[in-house]
Amino acid sequence: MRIFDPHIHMTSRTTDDYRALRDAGVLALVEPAFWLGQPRTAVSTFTDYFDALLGWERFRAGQYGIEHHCTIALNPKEANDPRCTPVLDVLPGYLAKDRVVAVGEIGFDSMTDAEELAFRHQLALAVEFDLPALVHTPHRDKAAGVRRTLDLVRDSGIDPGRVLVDHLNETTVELVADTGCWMGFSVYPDTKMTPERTVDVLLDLGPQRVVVNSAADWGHSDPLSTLHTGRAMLAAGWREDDVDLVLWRNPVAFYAQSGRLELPSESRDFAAVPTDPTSPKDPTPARRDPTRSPGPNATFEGNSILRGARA
Amino acid sequence: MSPPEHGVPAGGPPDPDLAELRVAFARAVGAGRRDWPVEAAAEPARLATAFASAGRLCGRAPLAELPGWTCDDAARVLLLHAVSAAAVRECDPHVHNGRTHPTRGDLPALVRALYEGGDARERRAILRALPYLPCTPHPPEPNAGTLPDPHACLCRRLLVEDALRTNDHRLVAAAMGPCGYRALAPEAWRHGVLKCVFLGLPLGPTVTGLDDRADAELARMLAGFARERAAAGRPVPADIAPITSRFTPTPEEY
Repeated sequence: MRIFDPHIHMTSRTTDDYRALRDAGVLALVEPAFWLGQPRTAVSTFTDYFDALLGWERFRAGQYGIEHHCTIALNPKEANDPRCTPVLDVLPGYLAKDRVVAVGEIGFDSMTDAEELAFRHQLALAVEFDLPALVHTPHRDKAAGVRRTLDLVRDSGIDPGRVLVDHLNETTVELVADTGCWMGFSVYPDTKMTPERTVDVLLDLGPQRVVVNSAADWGHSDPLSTLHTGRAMLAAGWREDDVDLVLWRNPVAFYAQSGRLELPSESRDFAAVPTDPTSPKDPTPARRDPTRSPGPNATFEGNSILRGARA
Repeated sequence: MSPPEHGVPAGGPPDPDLAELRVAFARAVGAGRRDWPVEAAAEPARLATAFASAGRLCGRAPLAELPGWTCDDAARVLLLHAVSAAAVRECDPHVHNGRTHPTRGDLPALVRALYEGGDARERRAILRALPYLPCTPHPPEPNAGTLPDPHACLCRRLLVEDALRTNDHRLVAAAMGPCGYRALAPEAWRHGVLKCVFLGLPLGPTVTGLDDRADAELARMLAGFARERAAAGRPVPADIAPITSRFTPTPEEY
C-alpha cells in the first residue's frame, strides 16, 4: 500500500512515528501550518515555525525516506489575536517556496469577523500565487461553518477543484459533495472520524475527490490512521485500486496542482497491496553526500526524484 | 601558512570560475533558461521570489561537468553574481528602465535577507555564492577593524556561523567550503571540522583547505573524538588519523 498523508503535523511527532509511517508505506506527506496548542503572541514565532516546516522538519522526514511538503497560512484560531494578524504580511515570501503546496490551514474556528477577514485574504493569496487551498472546518457548529466556508470559497473566485474542505463527517459531507471541492476526512482514534465510519461514508460517496488523513498532532491521534482506513476499506470489499485512489492518487492529484510536489520515483513501483518496506535501523548513514537530500539508505538516495512534476 | 587573499585556496576542491559555471549551467538548462539569472537580476523587486523559484524553473539535477554542483545551485549563484555585478557598477541608487537596483552598500543586507528567508537549498546556494560576491576576503584570524569592508565581511562570517549551528549536513558542508575557509576564525573552523566528522561528512571533499588550516589543536580535538568512539565500540572515521598523525601529541593528551 502506498500512502500520501495529505494532513499530518509532524512537528509534534517523534522519530518512532516517522519510522512507523515509512514502514506503513507513507512515502510522502503534507504538514499544514496550524496552531501549536499554546497560543503564540508574536509574528517572529510564526516565522520560526514556518522556517522549521521548510527546513528542519523536511530534513527530519528525509532521514526516514519520506518526502515532506507543507502548507503555509495564518490559522483561524490565531487570526483572532491582533498580535498575530501581521503574519498575513509575511505570507507572500513563504508562498513562493519549493514544496509549499497550498495555502492552509485557513477557514473558520469560531466564525468571528477576524477569522472571516483572514480567510478571505488568504483565499485571495491562493489565487494570486496559483496555489490550492486547504480549508479547516470548525469543530463546533460545524454545519454552519461549512456552509459559510463554501460561501467564501464561491466569493473568492478560486476554482473549487483547487479547494480541499477538511475534517468532514457524516453530517457535513453532503454540503460539499456537489460543489466541486475536494472532501477530506480526518481519521482519529475517538474524535472526528473512525476508519469504519469513513468506509461507510465512502460507500455512499464513492472514492472520487475524497482524501483521508491522520491529522495527527500533539493531541490524542494516530499517525497510522490512513493505513487503518485502507485496511478497513479492503476488509469491507473495496478493490485495491480504490484504496490506492483514496490514499495516494487523490491527494497527489490535489496537491500536484501546485506544481511543487516532489515524489520519489519508487512510489510508481509500489503495488496497491500491503507491503512492509524494510526500515533502516540507524537513520544516520555512514557517509553523506552534501548535495543530496537526507535519504535513509542507498536505495532511496540512489533513486532519482521527480522534482516538481505535475502529476 | 596564510591562505591566499583571493582565488582558490590551497588544499580544497577548486570552485569553478564563473565562466565554467555559466557554461555548465547553460548546457544543463538549454537555451530556454540560459539567460534566466541575468533576466531575474534585472527585476530587483521580485528577487526573493525568483531566488526561491530557481529549482522549479531551472531544475535540480547535478551538473555533469561540475561534480558537487546542481542546476539550482548554479542558477542561484549566477543570479546573485549578476545582482552584485550590477550593484558594483553603481555607487548611488541605480535606476535602470524605471527600476531601482541595489547599490554595493545594500548587498550585505540583501544577501542576509535572502539567507534568512531561504529554505535549506537557498541557504546552501548563498553560502556557495559568497566567494563570488565582492565581499573582501579576509585571513582566518579576523581583524575586522583593519578590513576594507568590515561590515560585508562580518555579514559573511555570521551566515557561515549560522549554517554551522544547524544539524543539516548540506548546510554544514557548504559552510566548510570556500566561504568558511575564508570567513571562520580558528576556533569556529575547528569546531566545524569536528561537526563534519560527527555528521558523517567526508572531510576531504567537504572541508576546503583542510591540510592548510589543520593544526595541533584540531588534532587534539579529533583524537578525543576518536577515543570516545573507540570507548563506545563505534567505528572511528578513517579521515581522522591522517590529521592526528601529523601533529605530535603532548604527554598529558595521551
